[in-house]
Amino acid sequence: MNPIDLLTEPLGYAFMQRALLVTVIASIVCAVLSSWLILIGWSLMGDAVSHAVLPGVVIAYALGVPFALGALAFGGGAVFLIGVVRGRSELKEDAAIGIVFTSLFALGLVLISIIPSQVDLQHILFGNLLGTTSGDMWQVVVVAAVVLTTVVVKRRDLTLFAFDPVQAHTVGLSVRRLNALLLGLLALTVVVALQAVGVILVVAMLIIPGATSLLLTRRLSRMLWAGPLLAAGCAVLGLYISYYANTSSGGMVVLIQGLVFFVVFGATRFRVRRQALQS
Amino acid sequence: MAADDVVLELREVSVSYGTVRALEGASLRLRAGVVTGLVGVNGSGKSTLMKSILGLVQPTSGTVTVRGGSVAAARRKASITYVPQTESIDETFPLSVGQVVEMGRYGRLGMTRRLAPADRAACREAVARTGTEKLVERSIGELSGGQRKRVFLARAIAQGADILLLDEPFSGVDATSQREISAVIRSLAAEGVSVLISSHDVASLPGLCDSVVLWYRRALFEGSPADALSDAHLARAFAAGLGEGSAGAVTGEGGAV
Repeated sequence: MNPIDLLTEPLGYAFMQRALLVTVIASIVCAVLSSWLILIGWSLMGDAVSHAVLPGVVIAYALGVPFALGALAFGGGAVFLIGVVRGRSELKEDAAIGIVFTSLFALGLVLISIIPSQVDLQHILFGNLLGTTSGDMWQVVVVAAVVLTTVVVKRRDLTLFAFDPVQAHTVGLSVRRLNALLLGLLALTVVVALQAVGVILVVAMLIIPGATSLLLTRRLSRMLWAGPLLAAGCAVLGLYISYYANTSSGGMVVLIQGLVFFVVFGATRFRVRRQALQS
Repeated sequence: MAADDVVLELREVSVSYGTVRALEGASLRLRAGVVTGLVGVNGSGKSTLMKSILGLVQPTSGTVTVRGGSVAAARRKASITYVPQTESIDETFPLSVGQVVEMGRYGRLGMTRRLAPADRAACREAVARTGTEKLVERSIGELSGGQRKRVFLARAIAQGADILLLDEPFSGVDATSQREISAVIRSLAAEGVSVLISSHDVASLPGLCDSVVLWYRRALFEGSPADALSDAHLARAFAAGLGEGSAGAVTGEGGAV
């Protein structure tokens, strides 16, 4: 088989076309948000929201409504609950997050077992890339477009919020609204990525691209390009490898992202050591 | 000085955090073109005072007004600006000096915060006034303490506010930067900006401030720098801290005085 065939053969299948589109879109949306999440220190929040949406997704499936709605409701609910638990008790934020997201995740598991439906737990936990219907695909496309448009319009506000919320407040921006905006975008992004890699691996796609691009550049404006480009490349590569090696597609995409991170990490450490030796 | 020069006024402001009272019936007036120094021990409520002026904490009683209007209205007009303590800034954040200075303009910009030529001109002028032209392309992590202070002062100038709050502007700053920052503050005051500087390095205040307030949860004394910083008055301010605050809080800063 010549190399061109290697690339085009999988695309002969409609399910692979949809899978490719969904993974690339999910990777890009996650990677864009990733830069702000890791700079604010919200990695754990990404983990929390991605797990907490499970009951929302299950209920949405059962009711036959778009699962973005259920996910958004429970993502928002989780963030609200975390705020309540942290604000009204002596608990630190990490404990509050841990309690809320695991409880909601458990609720999702229980709901799956008692609601008679077509919901396959495997698909929610690990994604169902190859089983993406065209309805799922359009939902991903629309939600991703909403997130990316909002981010492009609000990117400077989000950066100021991440860097210096006091200055944001001082020049008349609403810090509370920016906080809510970023959490809302996070919940929507989780919905996009759910289809591609599932609840458990979403957090990887929300952390790794931003972390990798932060190693490569000292400008947020460049990170916002580098992260999504890297993530999209990893998505394509991961999906092709999973096709030929017959492995989990979501797993392979995240594995490639992780490998790229460690390669970049190693290379930048090496560069730092060499510079230190030379000077 | 005429009463209508008063730009910002606190009346009987009290703020509590749980059972801790940070401000108790505090009153203060800031006037246009006047540089006011704020001296007090750790835990004397200087930071809470600044937070009240910025609207970051809500007083349990009393009022803060800016030109007779609310703090929120003044903020929407971007007419209050704040130079934070350097320690409160994440210096590893991947931004250039130029990008940080531009943030001073955000309150005046449209939804996407795109800078117009006039905004870029304001940023260039602010950078020139603080002597940070050569630093514009640098990352904020690559600056010395004094350079970083000047960059945040440039951001405040770019904002074009008429009330300037500086929180410990001379901590971790070399003597040259301190002189230059002082000169910039004086020139802003000459243009009518009302300035409040908190500092526990009292030696930096004469020559810079028109007036010094000794603070412990409220103003204990206000007068000329020479008067306020006389041994008798300073001793009173620190005794207030000793009497009511914890001994640790006082020794924390007593050495600097």
